[in-house]
Amino acid sequence: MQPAVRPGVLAGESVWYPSVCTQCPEGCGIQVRIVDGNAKKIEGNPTHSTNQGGVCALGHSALQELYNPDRILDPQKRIGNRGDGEFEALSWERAQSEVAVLMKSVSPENMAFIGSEEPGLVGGLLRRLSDSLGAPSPVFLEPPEYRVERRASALSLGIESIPYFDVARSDYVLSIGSPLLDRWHNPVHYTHAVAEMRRGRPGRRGKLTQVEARMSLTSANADEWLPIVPGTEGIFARAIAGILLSQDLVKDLGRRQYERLFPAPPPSLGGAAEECGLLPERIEKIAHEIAAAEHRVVVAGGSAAGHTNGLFNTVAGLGLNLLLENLGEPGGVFAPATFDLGRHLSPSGSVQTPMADLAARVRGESGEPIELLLVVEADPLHELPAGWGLASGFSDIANIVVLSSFFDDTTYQADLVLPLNTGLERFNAIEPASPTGIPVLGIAESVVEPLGSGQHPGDVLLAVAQSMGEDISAAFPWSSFEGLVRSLINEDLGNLPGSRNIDASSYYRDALARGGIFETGDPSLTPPGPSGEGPSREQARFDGEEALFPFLLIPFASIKAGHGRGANRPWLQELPDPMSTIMWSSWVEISPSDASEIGVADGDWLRLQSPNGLLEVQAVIDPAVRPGLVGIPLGNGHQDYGRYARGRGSNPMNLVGNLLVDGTNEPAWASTRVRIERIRPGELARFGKSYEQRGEGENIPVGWAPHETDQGGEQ
Amino acid sequence: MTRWGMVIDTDRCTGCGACVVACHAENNIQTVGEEEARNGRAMHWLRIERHYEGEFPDIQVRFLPVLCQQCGSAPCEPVCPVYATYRTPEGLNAMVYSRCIGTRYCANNCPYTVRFFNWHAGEWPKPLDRQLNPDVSVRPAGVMEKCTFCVQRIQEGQDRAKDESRQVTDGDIKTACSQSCPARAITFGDLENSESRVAQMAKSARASHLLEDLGTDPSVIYLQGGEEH
Repeated sequence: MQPAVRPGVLAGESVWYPSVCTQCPEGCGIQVRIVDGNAKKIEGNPTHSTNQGGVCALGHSALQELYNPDRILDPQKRIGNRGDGEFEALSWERAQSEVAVLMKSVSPENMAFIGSEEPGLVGGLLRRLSDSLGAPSPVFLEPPEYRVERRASALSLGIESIPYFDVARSDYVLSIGSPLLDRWHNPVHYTHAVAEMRRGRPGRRGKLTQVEARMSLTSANADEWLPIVPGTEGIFARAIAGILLSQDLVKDLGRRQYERLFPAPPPSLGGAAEECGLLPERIEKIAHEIAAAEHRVVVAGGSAAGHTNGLFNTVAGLGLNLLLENLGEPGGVFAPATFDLGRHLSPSGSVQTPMADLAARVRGESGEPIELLLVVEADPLHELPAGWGLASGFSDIANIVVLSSFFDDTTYQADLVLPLNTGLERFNAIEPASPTGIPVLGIAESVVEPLGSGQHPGDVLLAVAQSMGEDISAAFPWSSFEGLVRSLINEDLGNLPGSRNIDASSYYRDALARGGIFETGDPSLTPPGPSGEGPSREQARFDGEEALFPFLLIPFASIKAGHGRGANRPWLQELPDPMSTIMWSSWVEISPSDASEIGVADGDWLRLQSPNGLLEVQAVIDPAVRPGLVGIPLGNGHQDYGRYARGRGSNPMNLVGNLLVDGTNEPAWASTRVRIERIRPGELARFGKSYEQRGEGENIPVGWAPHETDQGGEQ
Repeated sequence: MTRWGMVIDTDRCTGCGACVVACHAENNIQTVGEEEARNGRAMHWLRIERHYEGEFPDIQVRFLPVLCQQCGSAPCEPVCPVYATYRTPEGLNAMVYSRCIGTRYCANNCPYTVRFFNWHAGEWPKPLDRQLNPDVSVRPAGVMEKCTFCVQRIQEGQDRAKDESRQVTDGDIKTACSQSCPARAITFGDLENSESRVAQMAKSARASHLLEDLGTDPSVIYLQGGEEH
């Protein structure tokens, strides 16, 4: 069936409509090319302050989510055993009445809710629903380091959210563990910012120094990479502070603020350097460089926050900004700016349940047993460590209802599936999860006719709430998610930019035509400073003894599949990873020296064993890998998730256990040790040449600039 | 006269791969699947090359987006027995799919390895086919294909200018890779127009061509990156 062409548009005519990207929670502004009702291409919205016209690989692939041949188009009910993947379609009416019956029959304390993004309006609705029912607060699935980073930010800078780093206007960016340019917060924004830092100001090129154990895409792009011993990132930051303090490279205010956070004297440079595996002169050089830069900023988080001492690492990193007195300064660190429309939906101070608490409930170890689990657009079974025992715990939950567009690992275990429409088929209203220094609310109408009967998660939640009797439904007076957004905007109109002398409906119409409400200008919110004393210095602990498990595993989110969502798009599967050039599979990066020690050739199938599980994956021998460390991309290893993802590659979270980051309830996902055994030879699907295949004299990559190709030539 | 060209600032490029996917989406490039990818038959008109310099721990990485260089003196052209690839008056190294008989001589002679052969016809299981760009032909099995500098966008930009009774202005036309690049690393325009951004950037001391010593006269200019520049 050919979808209807919008009125006023000719057959075959190409029209661009504004929209909001829903592929990650950052809500970049996009525009979509529509011809004859079909979506053809996505580009960035050049007026949008977050992405400024750019789109990432995942964002482009939203078209292959929309037109994916394996979407769930109608409600589904399980007919076989749970986990067999046998479902039959049923009508929305029946599905909704079954949900209503469940919601009324299960007592609220036996319910559990899992959502995908915390600050969003859908998250707010889910929270409001659990509040009105008197059920335990929902938990929101996000990369676990984000919560560690928020906690660290609260301690060191006095803000409860991810700080905004003004990279574009900085002269020196010291990034401690944070993969700014990988899939971390907003890669589109920070990619643009790094490019601007380097080439946006004629005659003034900023420098990026990356302190990270693994060669991430960010490390690869750094002007200087310090491959630090994993787990010593905080000690490195403290050593930098020691140099700045002892050599009088900072002013009094910075010193006082920093000493509120860390009253104890910093460690000696010599000892710290040895622990970090770096030369003391090198640490000193970095300290002098950052002290000399006019605009400088320290970014911290990522894998540094994924160790057991991740909170210390991140606080020590972010705390350097206090010493450098760059809070609210150009090129420094800012508090994120937001309209926070979601505050009207759930009272402030709602308790945020950590995922670990829910996992304990799922396992039946604490709290009220779960009789009804409602999952909204999230895949905890794929993204959380296998060591948390969610998979086996799920089998004891009587009723699992999932709102999803695909049979991802969690949906596969559902009893009832309520299908969601995809981003381009919905009305969207998104505030970024990690806002920049300029507030943004992306709003857009759907740009194509929906393919199936899927609905917006907000509309599904409204319908669920409204089926619950007057006590509950009174708290949900809106006829639709869009109606809710309109009323929130009306309520807040006076606070929104450009709302003077304009009536609410014109304001709303203009916002839709633009793709949202956003300002331009520079970030302006200054973080208040430390809220107390930082955590004391701790050594990182690891899961597995070094003698038995000699390698440390660092899982990472690649630009291909991200945390898993991108795995069902052929474009992303066939996109060569920028470092390994691998397509269509998972791999484990291993250093040449480790590979030769255990007799591994490139492409070989390896068995990785941790104290928590086993994994088979192919080897990529990579000269940039730190010996003793192995990296595996997240995102593959789905049980189903459609034809492009089913059974493809493996999920490194299956190796990760239940160690938590000290001082938080978040998984320490970068703390698992593994041992490696070679199973059989194999060959990877690779677009570039492998490191191993390049012999002496052949080390000439195809198409590199002439002065680089001269080696071994006639000179 | 127009000569379409591109300037790629490698100091801006981070290797994020957005351009690679943008190119697939714009140009109806098929995905070939794992087996054929392993056989070396994946078709990326635009690829990100990753080069290592030095040894761990002092190892440096450079990313280089490589696409058809639209050579002024193209090694692929004279070896085609059926004139399926030729130089247009606007400096594009064009492919006539309906002429191509699949000798693959052109790919063999291209020093940049940016030409790709359709070993099979592409497959777009329904409804994935609804995404296909109506302005770009879907290539049949047995023909060669490569970057066209998004010739359909050039055409569209020229048509639009003509409809509005004006000349094409600098920045009117963007290739798909250039438009989506989050880092603004890719600039497209007319090298013959001395006022254009590409012509200005081409004068940079950081500018160079790939494999310049081959004398292919490329239309793609790279700006070197790194602190030393």
